[in-house]
Amino acid sequence: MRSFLPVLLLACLTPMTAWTDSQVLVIPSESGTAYQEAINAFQEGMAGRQVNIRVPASITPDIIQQMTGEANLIVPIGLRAARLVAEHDAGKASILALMVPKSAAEHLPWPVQHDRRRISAVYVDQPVGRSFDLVRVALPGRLRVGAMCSRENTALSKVLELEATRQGLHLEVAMVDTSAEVGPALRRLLPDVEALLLVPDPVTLNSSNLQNVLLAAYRQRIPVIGFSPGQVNAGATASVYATPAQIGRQGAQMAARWTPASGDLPPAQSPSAFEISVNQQVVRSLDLAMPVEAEIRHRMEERRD
Amino acid sequence: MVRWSSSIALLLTVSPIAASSSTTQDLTESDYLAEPQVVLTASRMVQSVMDAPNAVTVIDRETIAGSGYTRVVDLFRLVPGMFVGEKSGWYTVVSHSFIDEWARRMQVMIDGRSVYLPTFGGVRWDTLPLAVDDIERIEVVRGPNAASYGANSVTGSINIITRHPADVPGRKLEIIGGDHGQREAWFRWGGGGDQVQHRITLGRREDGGLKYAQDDERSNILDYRGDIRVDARQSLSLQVGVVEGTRGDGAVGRDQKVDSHSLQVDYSLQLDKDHDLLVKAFGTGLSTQGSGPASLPEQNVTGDRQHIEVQFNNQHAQGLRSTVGAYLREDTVRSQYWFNTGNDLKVGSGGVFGHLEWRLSPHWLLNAGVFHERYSLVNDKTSPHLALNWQPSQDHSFRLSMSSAYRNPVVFEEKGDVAQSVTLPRPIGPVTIHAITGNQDIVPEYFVSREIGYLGRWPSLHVSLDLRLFDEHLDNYIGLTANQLVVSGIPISLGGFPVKIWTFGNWGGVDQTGCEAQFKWQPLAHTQVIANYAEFHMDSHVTSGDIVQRTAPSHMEGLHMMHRLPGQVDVNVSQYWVASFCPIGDSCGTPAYRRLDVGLRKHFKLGDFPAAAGLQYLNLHGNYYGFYQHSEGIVDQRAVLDFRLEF
Repeated sequence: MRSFLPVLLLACLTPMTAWTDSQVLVIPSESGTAYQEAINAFQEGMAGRQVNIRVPASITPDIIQQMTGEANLIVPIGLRAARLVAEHDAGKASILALMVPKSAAEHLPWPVQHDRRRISAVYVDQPVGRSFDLVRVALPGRLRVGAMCSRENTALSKVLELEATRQGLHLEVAMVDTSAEVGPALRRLLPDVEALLLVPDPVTLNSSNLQNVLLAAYRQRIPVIGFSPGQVNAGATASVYATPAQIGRQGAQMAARWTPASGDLPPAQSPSAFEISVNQQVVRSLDLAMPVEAEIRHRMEERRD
Repeated sequence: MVRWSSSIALLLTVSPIAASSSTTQDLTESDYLAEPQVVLTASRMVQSVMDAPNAVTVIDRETIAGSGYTRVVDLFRLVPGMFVGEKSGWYTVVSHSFIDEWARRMQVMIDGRSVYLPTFGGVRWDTLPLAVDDIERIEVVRGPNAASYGANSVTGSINIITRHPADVPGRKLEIIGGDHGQREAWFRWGGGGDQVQHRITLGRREDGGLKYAQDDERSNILDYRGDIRVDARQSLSLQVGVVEGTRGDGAVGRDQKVDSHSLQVDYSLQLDKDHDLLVKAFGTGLSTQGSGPASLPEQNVTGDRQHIEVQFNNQHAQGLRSTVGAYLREDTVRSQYWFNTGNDLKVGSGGVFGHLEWRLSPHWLLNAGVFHERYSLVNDKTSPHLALNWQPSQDHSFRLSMSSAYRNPVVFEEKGDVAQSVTLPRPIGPVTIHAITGNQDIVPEYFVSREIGYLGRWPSLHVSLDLRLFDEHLDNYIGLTANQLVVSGIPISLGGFPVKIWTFGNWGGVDQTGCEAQFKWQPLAHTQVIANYAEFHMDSHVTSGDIVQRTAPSHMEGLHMMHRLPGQVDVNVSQYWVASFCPIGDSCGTPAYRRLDVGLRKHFKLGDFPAAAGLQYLNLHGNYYGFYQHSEGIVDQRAVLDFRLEF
């Protein structure tokens, strides 16, 4: 059922704006904590910039068509909301999708007539190089990194390989067609690598095989670099990720540069701010000499400077 | 290494590399935000050697593969202070100090299953259903570990962790041929589905043994392991092992038939992310029977063991975890010759244990453990262990450790009765004498250890250093002493020599000090250099006549190099130096020796299948006495070829 989204928040701020006729419509995909954090951060980031923010209690295709038929800024949070907006987009508003995976965002069905300069996003994905930054900083000396990708993600694997090479790493990518091939591929991969990079790919990594991937890597005493704090909690060695709040704030910064007159948005971006999470028990158990999280982050930022 | 740290928990609760159904679906933010179930719970993770309360040497898979060795016992040469002796081609002795044919003071386990023999103690390594390539890693605790594994772990413990079926998929064939009639064939299959995975290994081993000894070995080996993921929280593991065959036993026409079997079941229940429950049950049996026209009654010995234990692991808070557990065991031995009865002799034992690992601060770690046991042959005994680790940084750990431990008498020491009919000079005539008798009054050996340890690593240099200084005292030493046979008040002599009978007793103590060191440089995954050094000083106050003073070589050194050359060629060179020693019960001592092993192995593809061919040349320096100093105990050179194919 796509015509209604959960009630999240209805907030009407007093108009203090130059864009008195325009609205900013925030549409979360779900009512979870993560979405609330992103909304809060977005709201805080927009505060004082004289803008109307309106989060509707419910959304129907009609409302979307109405809102996107005018020079408003629509901010869907999450893929489900972004897809809903794309499917009912009337093409006049600007769309800033937050917390969406890049691969999925690039395939949203935007109307042909919608000016692409008015569509942007802050992805949930980290920039490709950042994961390798983490490998270099947190696992010094481990230069042979393994990853698994489905063939649908061949392009991503190429990008990963290029970036790894640029950073002086050797990336071994195991390509699979189906989830059934993940186990054998992993067994072939692990003996040849010194770290395993989890790649967001629903074929190679999903809720049903994460346990097996983590256990197989642990048995081989291979540290695992993930892309979410949940993976670290489950047993990955370390992750680099952006919090919903960080994404919300970055979205607010982009929205601040938007005007109803032009409607243009900055290009889609990966999160600029990030967090590091380390499973210290796994680190100790694997006898890794890993800096503490703050130090890792500091060094990663230095590498980027 | 504390009990919870054993990799058993990990290995028994893992599930196979499962495959979910193949579905093409979009990635969503949920993939980044989800909180998946905790997989690596505290008890599944092995304790870091930096945090261990003991000196631990881990022989991992890379080292096992790189060593080139095809016999399990040879791997222990890589451990500082560990003695590997060859009494015969099939009877090998692995001992950490107190070198003894029965190596009674060290515990040995396979996946947590004790293979320490109840009858005479020690391990019959030739009867273990174990192929080198089925070993994932070996954890060797150098020093007392009774607080973790109970009595008999007084000078160390070995836990051999086997490979999970999911890690050895497919079929593997290995053919080995070498000097002295060494012929081996091994076949392994690993496979299964999402929920159940199997590993089965079948082996045939023939070996002519040592050059001058009647010590042929012929064995058929079966090793099965099945791992079942019941659901996300429960798992079950089943292991079955069989070794049956014959051994040349010192003379032509004197063979020993061997029948060894084991069954082990492990159950794991993850209660929540901080608590889990492990249950282990196993039964083992070893039967040897004399065969052939020259066979002797002493070859007929049977020993069985039934064991069950429960372990509960808790993560109380960050930096504080504990484990508590209990076990029950029954050993049954039978031998008309050694016990002068055809009946089963049963010995029961049980105990409770607990451990605490408490990180007091980022730089201080406290490990405390205690094992309280009741053994039917002696009173209750308690073995505590306390260790404090100071870790000024994550790469350096200084350890101060104190522990006490007991070694319970084996059944023969308590109940042995070797009765012999002899005809004595008139007026006595034929009588039955008890040539060796156990002693119901002996008390367990008591072992107190103090040690200072250091473990340091320099990641940028790929270097690590392990040091251990120890000061140990063994009290109530159990040994044999001889007295002249007295019949009807008459001391008996034959041919002018007194006829002696032997009795076990507690005979004083031994002080032992020493140090062990291991330097390791591993710049690449397939390249490592290991240098080992161990020094033992024993001051014996034993009054039984045993020359305990020299039951550890005054020093042992080892230098091991493993490297992968271009073209997928592995080369390994290992040199050992062992100072002279005198095994317990021996009087003449065994001279010092050197041993040099070198090997090459080429990895290649046979069609699409990985294959390897290797040549190992063992003991290039030539003859040395493997254990006792007699001509049948000479170990000489041996070339071994092996070929393996995975398909």
